Amino acid sequence: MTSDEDELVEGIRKGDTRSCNTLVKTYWADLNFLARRIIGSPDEADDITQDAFINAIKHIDTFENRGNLRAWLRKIVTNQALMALRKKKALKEDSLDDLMLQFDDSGHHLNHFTERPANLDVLAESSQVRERIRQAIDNLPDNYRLTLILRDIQGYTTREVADMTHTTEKNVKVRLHRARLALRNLLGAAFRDTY
Amino acid sequence: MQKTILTCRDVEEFMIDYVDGGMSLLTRLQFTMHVVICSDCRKYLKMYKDTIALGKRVFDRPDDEAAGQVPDEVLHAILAATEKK
Repeated sequence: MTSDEDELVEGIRKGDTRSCNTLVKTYWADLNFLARRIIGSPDEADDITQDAFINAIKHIDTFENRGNLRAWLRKIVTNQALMALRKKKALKEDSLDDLMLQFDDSGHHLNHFTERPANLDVLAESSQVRERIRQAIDNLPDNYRLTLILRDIQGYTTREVADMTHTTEKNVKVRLHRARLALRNLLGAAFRDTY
Repeated sequence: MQKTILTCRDVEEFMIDYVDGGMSLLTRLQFTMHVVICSDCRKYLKMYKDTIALGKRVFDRPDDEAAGQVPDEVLHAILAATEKK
């Protein structure tokens, strides 16, 4: 943790309003973005993010100073969003079969890839590509989207994701792989356009 | 007996273990050998890794989405709910 974060956490522990204000303003975009990807609705994401900050500030004593403040906040908002999503509906387990790779009878690719290698820096800087990635993630079925966010973005282990989504580790791996493939295919046009 | 030559379908199946770890040395070697000779799988593996990296980058810089700033009324609500009496 940086010395600025140390100071911020210390201020919140003492009940300093300015520190709370700084915390919210610094991390709002990051947490709200994450909540939106998980829950889907901007209004609900705002409520979830608000509740997450209230919980974080009230329970700042449970934060260990050696830890990563952003990761700790992300964990809180993830849990809040997961709870909200479960309350709202049973998680959809739609099929992604249409987006999967196709093979011939001998197990070789049916379609050949014509794309040239991507320049990740160029792709990541393109607001069009970034928007397309957001949309592609949002369009994944619930369980696949959650698994992708928790495992690839949040960095939870397969075991942790299995616990959080109430499934087996094997299922997490299947969902993650399929989500990555589907995301890649949904991004196909972006890969083609930007080379 | 485990087969010695992997097909593209096998490579797709093992891709997650190759990228995330958790693959036996022998399977890793077979996977690598296939990828060296198969340009489709080589391209696909790169795109698979690029997709993961791009997803991370979008989350690491969420500032270009609308609602990037906390609305004033929300900020006040948070501060009011957490104010120490």
